Amino acid sequence: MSKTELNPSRWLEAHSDRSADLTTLPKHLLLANICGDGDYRLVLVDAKFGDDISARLKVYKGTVLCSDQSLPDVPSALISFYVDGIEPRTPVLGVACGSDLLIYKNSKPFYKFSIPPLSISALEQDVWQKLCLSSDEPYEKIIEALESVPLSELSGRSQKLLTLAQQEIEDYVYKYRNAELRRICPITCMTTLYRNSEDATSVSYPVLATEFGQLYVLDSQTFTILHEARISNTKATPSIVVAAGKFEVEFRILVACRERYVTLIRKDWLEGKNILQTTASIVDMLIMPGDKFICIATSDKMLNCYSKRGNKLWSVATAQAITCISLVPLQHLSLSLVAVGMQGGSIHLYHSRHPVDYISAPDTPSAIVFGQMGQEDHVMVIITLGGTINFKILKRTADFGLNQDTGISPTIQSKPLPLPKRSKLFLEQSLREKQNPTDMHQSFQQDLIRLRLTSARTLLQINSDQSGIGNTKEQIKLSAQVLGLGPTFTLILTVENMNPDKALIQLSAIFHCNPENYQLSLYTLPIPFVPPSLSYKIHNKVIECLNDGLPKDEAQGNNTIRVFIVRNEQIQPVLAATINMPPTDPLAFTM
Amino acid sequence: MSYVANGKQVTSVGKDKKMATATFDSNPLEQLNWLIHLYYVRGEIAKCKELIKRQIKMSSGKHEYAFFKQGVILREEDKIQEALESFQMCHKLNCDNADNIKEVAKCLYLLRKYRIALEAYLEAERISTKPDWEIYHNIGQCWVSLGENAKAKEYTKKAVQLGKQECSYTLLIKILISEGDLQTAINVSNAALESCPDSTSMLTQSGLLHLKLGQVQPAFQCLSSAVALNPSCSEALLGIGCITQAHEEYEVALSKYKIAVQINPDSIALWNNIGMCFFAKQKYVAAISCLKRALWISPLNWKVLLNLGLVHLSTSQPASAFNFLCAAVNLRPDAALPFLALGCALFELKDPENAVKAFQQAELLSKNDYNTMLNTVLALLTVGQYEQASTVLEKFKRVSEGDSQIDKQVTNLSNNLESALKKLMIRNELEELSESLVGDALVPNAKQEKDSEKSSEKAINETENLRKLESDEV
Repeated sequence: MSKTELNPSRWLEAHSDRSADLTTLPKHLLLANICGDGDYRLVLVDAKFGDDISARLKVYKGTVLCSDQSLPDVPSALISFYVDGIEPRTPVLGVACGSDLLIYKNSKPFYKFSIPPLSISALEQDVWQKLCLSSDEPYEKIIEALESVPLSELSGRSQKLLTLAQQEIEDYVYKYRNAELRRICPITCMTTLYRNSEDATSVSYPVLATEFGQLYVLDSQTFTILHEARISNTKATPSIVVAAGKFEVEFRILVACRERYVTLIRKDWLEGKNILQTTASIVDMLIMPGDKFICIATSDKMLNCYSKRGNKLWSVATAQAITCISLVPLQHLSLSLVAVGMQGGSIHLYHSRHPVDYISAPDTPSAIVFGQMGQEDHVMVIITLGGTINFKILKRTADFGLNQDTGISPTIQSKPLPLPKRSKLFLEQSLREKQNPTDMHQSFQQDLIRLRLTSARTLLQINSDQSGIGNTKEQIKLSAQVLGLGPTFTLILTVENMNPDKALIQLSAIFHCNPENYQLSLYTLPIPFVPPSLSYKIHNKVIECLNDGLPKDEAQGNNTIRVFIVRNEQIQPVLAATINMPPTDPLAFTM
Repeated sequence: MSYVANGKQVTSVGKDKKMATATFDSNPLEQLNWLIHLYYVRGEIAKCKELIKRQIKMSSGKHEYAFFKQGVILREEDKIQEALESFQMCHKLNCDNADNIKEVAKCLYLLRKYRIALEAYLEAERISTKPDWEIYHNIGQCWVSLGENAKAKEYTKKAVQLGKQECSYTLLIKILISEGDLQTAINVSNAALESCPDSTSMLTQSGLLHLKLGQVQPAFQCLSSAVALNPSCSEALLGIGCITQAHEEYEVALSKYKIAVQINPDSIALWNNIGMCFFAKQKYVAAISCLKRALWISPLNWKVLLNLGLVHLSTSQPASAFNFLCAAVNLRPDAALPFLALGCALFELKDPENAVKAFQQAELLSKNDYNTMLNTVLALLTVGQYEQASTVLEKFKRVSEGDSQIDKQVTNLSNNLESALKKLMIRNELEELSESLVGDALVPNAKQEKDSEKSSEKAINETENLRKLESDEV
């Protein structure tokens, strides 16, 4: 990082347009000599995903928009390739829209190739036949048969039919009654493959991969299928396809799938072979020129490199989540870098696993392309998520010297350990201990035992304390107070609701005593609703029964009253308490 | 009704007739699946959600892939219950797709419903046409969570063979370690390093396993390459520090720990080892503050308590040492070392009767440890139980016979003790035992005691490595 701060940037800021308002996805951007005049144009797809999706194919000459035409649908990929050897060498543009490959030559629509439709199940065929012919049977009945088939195995027409409301069905069926039933499959990704020479301007073939896992290599002149293969023997949906080699000699097509597989298809293979699986979803994939290593960016902020056979060679963690990557081949330095665009707007250039340069974009880059543009050889075009288009030119003097400083920064190493200073108190205390350890130990042990005794005593006291008895689970507390000298007392019980959320309901208080000793004014009492954190007071008159005007013997009598708080229809009491009644002073009692 | 006017034919269409408009086939539902996926992988979650919503609405709730991705996004947002519902929707739409069941099972696993998750994975295994390492791995994980190691091992092995993925290797190593089969675990980790050479966690794991088996050289290699790949890998730094510390290169060890502690300031093992490094350098105050920090992070760690006790013993603060050691003994009543140290502390506190008890307990727990035996002899001598002392000494002689690697200090100490014992026994026979003589004998013995203590500290230092590994694993 310090490198770029100290040294001037390797890039010239050519042009930046914040008001371009482009929505361009990674596979929608390329540089090509589409007019055949050696002036490389920037071709991109600008797709708007509003309420109605629309897309436009735009061509920039320099920084000026020179062609703009609308596309029938959002394309999934954009390629350019040479179809023939006629001078001047002019490549055509290929746009994958739905299941069609639209070819544009000299910025004009030229040809449309459609992927062969998939087979239609007999059941569906039958249903449509019935729908078109008979009118006596209700439509719903016929359509019901379709429900048994998974939606993904039906044609688009039947899928739509199943989502329609009842009154719309008739119109819909009428509309399609004569049209041939077709089950088309969308193209998800596309690339090009050289025919017999790896020269940049030699003829190459488009390679298409579809949603249902088919791969097609097309002849670019006759637009017939030259080779067809299944991506994998398991369920695999292609998301990125890259190719290397020459079709007529030997080639390798790598397909990254949504299921996180990468499969390999070689010449004459009818089915791809899974060569690796990543742990996180694949954002983008490249084949490095030269050593043919596979470079994969994954959604867990990692840039991984695998060998041709799918063995992991290295992986580096990037600072932010990766949004797009692009190959930066520098022939004059004979090295290839990978530009990694990340969330937040930084672009790091990696030479194998080492970051060698840092570029910043106005905001998160959405698509990056590097190559020849106009007369300039090394231009990087960045289109951000915010719609800004940014052109950067690599200085001719730029070298990517690989003397990167690895290792931990010296600042961390030189930091001392965060240790606290030795305090005076600590030293004094330890000195004191050194002088007289035995006494200290003994007095400490004594104090410890004393502390234990005190705590045990307190615990016992609390346990036998009757003034406040609580049930911690129900969060009820009961406290009693006895007023009077006898033989008439007033017993005041306080039921406290300690729960801050719940009110107390359906509770009753039951008083229990020996009737020979005491008479109470009430023995049972339903406790009314006690709101949270409030308490309720019960007043109870107690009259001690005196024999012959004298209180009973202490030993004989049982001068306790027991109180139970019970919940209605529950056997176990919520709370129980014993109240020791004070004896009546016979002297104070005068009849 | 039609007529010809100005050479142009105008055809009017009756109102009751339906116009045959262009018959563009409607696009299949899967048309924009690639876009949903692209938004998702690039982290444009808001746009992705919007598109999913639109697609679901368009298909009146029948879009399998949209529900699938919605589930994945919800799960990443930790809304697992909602994600589960989304995946269940997918399963309802297409019950032949093993992927949907896998995702449902994954959600169940995250909701800690391991048993149901396991059943779902088994169902996925049944449905899927090809063996899938991911299913095997997850079944293994479910079995681990359910505590069935044998079955877990079987499935994880399958997953490793099929997928060769790092996570499967890690799981298998975890199972093997829990079974105590360290050698196989090392073999597995070496195999794992072939398929993922750049994984610092695997390198560290392998290094620590080697270290546990005492294979220092390969351990050092693994840990060094881990540090080379990630200079701030605190676990690997700790391991390297451990090895250097064991070789008494305390400065090097400290420099490693210094880096590691800045990355992981709450590591008990790190602070403990730093403390022991300072202890070895005789910087007792620093040692105490480091150990106390470790203790503050984990107050119930008996090893830290033991080390603190030892440091306090060497700063001649036996009263503090006693408290720490007492706590250590209470936490680990089955370890010999804390009892030995406790005995030393009690001895220093002039409580030889209890010291004898502690030493005897230590002797009981340790299998023929020289230090323990000699300390026991010393304590027995001090309390006057000469007969027992001589039996223990006999035992020591018997055990230490033929051991060529015996420490010189230990032999010296045993000789001194033997002569002291003889002297005392003769005096005892003569019934001339007096207080002053015992005191006389105690002075040199106390000195020797210190020697033995030091060697026991050394022993503890060595055991440090082991304990570090143990806490690394936690």
